[in-house]
Amino acid sequence: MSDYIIETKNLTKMYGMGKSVADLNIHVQKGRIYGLLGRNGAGKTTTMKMLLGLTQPTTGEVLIWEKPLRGNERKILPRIGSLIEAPSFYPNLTATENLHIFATLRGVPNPHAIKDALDLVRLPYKDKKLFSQYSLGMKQRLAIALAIMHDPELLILDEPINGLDPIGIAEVRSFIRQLCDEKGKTILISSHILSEISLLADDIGIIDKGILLEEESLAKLEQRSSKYIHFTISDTAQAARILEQIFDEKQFLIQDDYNIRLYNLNLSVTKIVSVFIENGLEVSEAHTCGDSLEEHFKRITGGEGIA
Amino acid sequence: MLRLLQCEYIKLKRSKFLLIGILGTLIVPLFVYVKAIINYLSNPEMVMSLFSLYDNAFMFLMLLFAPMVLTILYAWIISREYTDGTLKNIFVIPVSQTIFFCGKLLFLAILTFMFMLISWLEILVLAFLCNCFIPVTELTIPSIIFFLIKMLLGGILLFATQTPFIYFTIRTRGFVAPLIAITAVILINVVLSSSGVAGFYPWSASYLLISGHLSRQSCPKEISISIILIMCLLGIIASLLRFKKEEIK
Amino acid sequence: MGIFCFLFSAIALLLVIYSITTVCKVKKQISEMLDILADIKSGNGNRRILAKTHEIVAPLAYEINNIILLYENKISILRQAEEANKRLMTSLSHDVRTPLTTLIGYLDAVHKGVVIDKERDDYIEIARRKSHDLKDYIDVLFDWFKLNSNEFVMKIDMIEAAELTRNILIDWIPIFENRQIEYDISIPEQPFWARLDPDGYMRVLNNLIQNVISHSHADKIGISLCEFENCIKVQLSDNGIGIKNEDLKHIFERLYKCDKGRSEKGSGLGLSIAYQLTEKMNGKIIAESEPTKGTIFTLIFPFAI
Repeated sequence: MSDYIIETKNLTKMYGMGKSVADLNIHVQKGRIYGLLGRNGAGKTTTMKMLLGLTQPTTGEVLIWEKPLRGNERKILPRIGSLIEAPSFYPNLTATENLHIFATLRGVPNPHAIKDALDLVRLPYKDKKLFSQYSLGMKQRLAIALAIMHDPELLILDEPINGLDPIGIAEVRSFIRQLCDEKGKTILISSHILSEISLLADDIGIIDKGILLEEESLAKLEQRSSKYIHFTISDTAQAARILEQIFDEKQFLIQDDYNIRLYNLNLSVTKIVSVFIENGLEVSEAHTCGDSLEEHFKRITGGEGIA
Repeated sequence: MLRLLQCEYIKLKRSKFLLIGILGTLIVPLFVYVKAIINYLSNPEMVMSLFSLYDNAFMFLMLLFAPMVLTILYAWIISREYTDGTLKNIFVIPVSQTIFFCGKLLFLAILTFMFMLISWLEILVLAFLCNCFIPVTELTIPSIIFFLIKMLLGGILLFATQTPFIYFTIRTRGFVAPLIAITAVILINVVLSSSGVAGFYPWSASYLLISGHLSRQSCPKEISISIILIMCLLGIIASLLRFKKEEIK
Repeated sequence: MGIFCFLFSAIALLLVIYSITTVCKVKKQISEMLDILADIKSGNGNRRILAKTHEIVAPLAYEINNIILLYENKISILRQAEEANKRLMTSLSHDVRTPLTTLIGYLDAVHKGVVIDKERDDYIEIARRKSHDLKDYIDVLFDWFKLNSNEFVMKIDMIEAAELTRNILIDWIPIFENRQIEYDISIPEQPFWARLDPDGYMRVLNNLIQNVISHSHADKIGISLCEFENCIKVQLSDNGIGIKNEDLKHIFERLYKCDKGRSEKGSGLGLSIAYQLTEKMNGKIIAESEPTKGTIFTLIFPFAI
C-alpha cells in the first residue's frame, strides 16, 4: 500500500517515431508539492495531459488515488483541478460567464464558488470585461480560478506563473504554498525555471527529453548541495575537541554520535582526516558536498543546465 | 444534456456569427418578395400565391442559402472549441466526448429549426403586408400550417445533409475545409437542379423532396430519402468516431 | 372532450416519467454522496461533494461541504503547530547536542589521560566554561519556550526609561573595555516615561548588545536614546561586519543564524526573544544593515500617557 496520490508506471508517449515521454515513473505524495522541472519540450506538458486523460499513453499506466485513471475518469477527474498550457476560454464571454459554464457542467462545492475563486485570484466578480480584452496575466489568473473553483484535492498546474508580473508571481507562489500547507492539498506543478521550483516544491522530478532523470525531495537535494564537509567517524566528541584545539575551528554541527559536519571549506580534508587518525579515531567517510543546486542540475541534465 | 444545451446557449452571447446567420436567413424571403413584386408589376395578370412564394423561398433557401449559412455557423460553433482551446477544460470536468458531441449536434439541430421558423414567419408576415397592396391568394390557416410543417421538414433535411461538413470541421479543426466543400456542393446543386439526376444528389434531393418537384424526376422518393439518411448517419458516425479519438495536442 | 382526455393523460404520463427519472437521479447522487462521505470519514478532509446549483441535493451537499471545511480548518491549524514543533525539536536537539558533545570530548580526553598537567587543567577549564555556556543556552531556551507558550508574565509599569537604560549600560561598560570596543553612549538627562516591563526591557537591550559583541566583530558601538514622534527611540549601532540583505529579513525568526555552524556561542534565539518581548510591550524593533559597514538596531516604544 503506497501513499502516492499520483503514480505512473512506465508511462510512454510516442509521437510518430519519437518518444515524447519515455518510461516515466513519477510519484506524487499526499499533501506535498511536486515540481516537475525540465526545459521547454522536455515532456512536462505531455505528461500532465496523460495524467488528466487528455491524451492516451502509448504504453504504461497512470494511477491516481491508487486507481487506474483509464475507466475511472468520472470518479477521479472531478477531484482534480488543472491548468494545462495557455489559458483557454470563450473570448466573447466575461470571466464570470466563462466560469459559470464550467461550474454548470461540473458542479460546485458551495453556491458562491465562482465568486470565491475569482476573489482568490483577485479578479472582479460579474465584471463587464470580456475574456478577449484580458491581459495575459489576467487570463492566467482566470485559468487558476477555474482550477481551484471546485476546491479539488489535487491540482495539476502546468507552468502556472507564465505571463504573470513579479508581484503576481509572488502572490501565486504564496497562494500555492498556502493551499498545500494550510489545506493539505496535493499539487503537481511544472516549470522550466529552477529557482521557481526550488522556492515552491517539496519534491522535485527532473525531466529531460522525456526521461525522468531524478526524483528527490528538495530537502535532500538542498542538503546535498549546501557546502560543507561531512565526516563519519567513530567518536564525534573527540573529533569536536580536536577541531577546536588543533584547527581552532568552531563552525561545525554534530548530527549524532558518528556524523559531524564542518562548514569551513578552507580546511584541508586530508589533513583533518590524518589528524583524526593520529588521535585514534576511525574515519569511515569524509567528503565535501559543494554542488549548488544549479551545478547539480547542470550535471545531471548533461551540461546544458536549466534556466 | 439540458445543461450542455444551456451552456451552448451561453457561449453564443455577443457572438457576431449568430447575428450574421439570422441576417442571412432574413435576406432570402426579402429577395423572394422583391422578385415576385417585379414579376407582378411587369405582368399584372399573374396571381401572387402563397404557394409560389414559399416555393421560391424553398428553392433559394434549400439549394443555395441555408446550406451556406448553416455550414458557416456549424463550423464556427464546432471549430471554436479547438481554436479557443476550451476542449481541454471540458474534457477534464469530465464531460465524455460522446455526450459533448451529442449535445453539440442537438444544439445545432435546434438552431436549424430556429432559422427555418424565422424564415417561415418572415414570409408569412411579408405576405400579410403584401396583401394590403397586392392580393396574395391561398392565405388560409391550413396552408399556413402546411408550409410550417414543410419548413420544419426542410430543417430536418438540411440538418441531415450537413453532417459531412461537421466531419470536415472536426477533421481539420477549422472552418476553411467545410466552407470550400459547401461551395463546391452548392455549385453542383445549381448545375444539377434542373437535370434528371438531381434526385440522387442529397443536397438537391432535399430541396426536391420538400418542394414536391421530385415527382418530375426519374428518381423515386424512397431512394432519395434513403440516400440522404445514409449520408447523414455516415456523417454522424464518422464525426463521432473522429471526435472520440480526439487528443489535446 | 376526447382531445382533453388525451391531453390530460399525456401530461400525466410525462409527469410520471419526470418524477421517476428525478427519483433515480437523486438516488444515484445520494449513493455517490455516501461514497464521498465514506472517503471523508476515513480521513480525507479535502474531499468535496460537487453539485449543480439547481439540483435537489445541492443545499444538502453545500451544507456538508461547509461543515467539513469548518473542521478541516481547525485540524489544519493544529497540524501546522505540530509541524512547527517537530521542526523545532529536531533543530534544538542538534543545537544542544553539538556543544554538549564537544564538552564531553574534552572531559573524555582528560579521563583517558590524553592530556596531562597544565593542558589537563586547561581542558577542565574549557569544559567548565562550556558547561556554563550550555546552561546559559538552556536558560535562554526556557525563556523562549515560556514566551512562546504565553506563560511569560509581564509586569508592565510606568518606567523612567533613561535611568533604566543607564543602569543597564553600566554593567556593560567593563565588558566593552575588556574587549577594546569603543563606546559612545548618549542618553539625555530629562526623564522618559513609558509603559514597560523593566525586566523585559533589560533582556531586550542585553540581547541586542550581546548580539553585537558576539557576532558583529565591531570595535565601535553607539547607544543613544531620544524622542521620536511621541515615542522613545533607542538606537544601537555598530561598525561590524553587517548582515546580508537576504539574512536581514529572517534575523528575528527563531533559530535563524547567519552562519551554519552551531558550536559557537549563541543560541539563535536572542534576537527572536528580543523581538517577541518588544512586541509584548507594544514596541517595535527594526534592523537596518549594510554589509561590511555595520548594523543599526532601533527600538521604539510609545510614551506613557
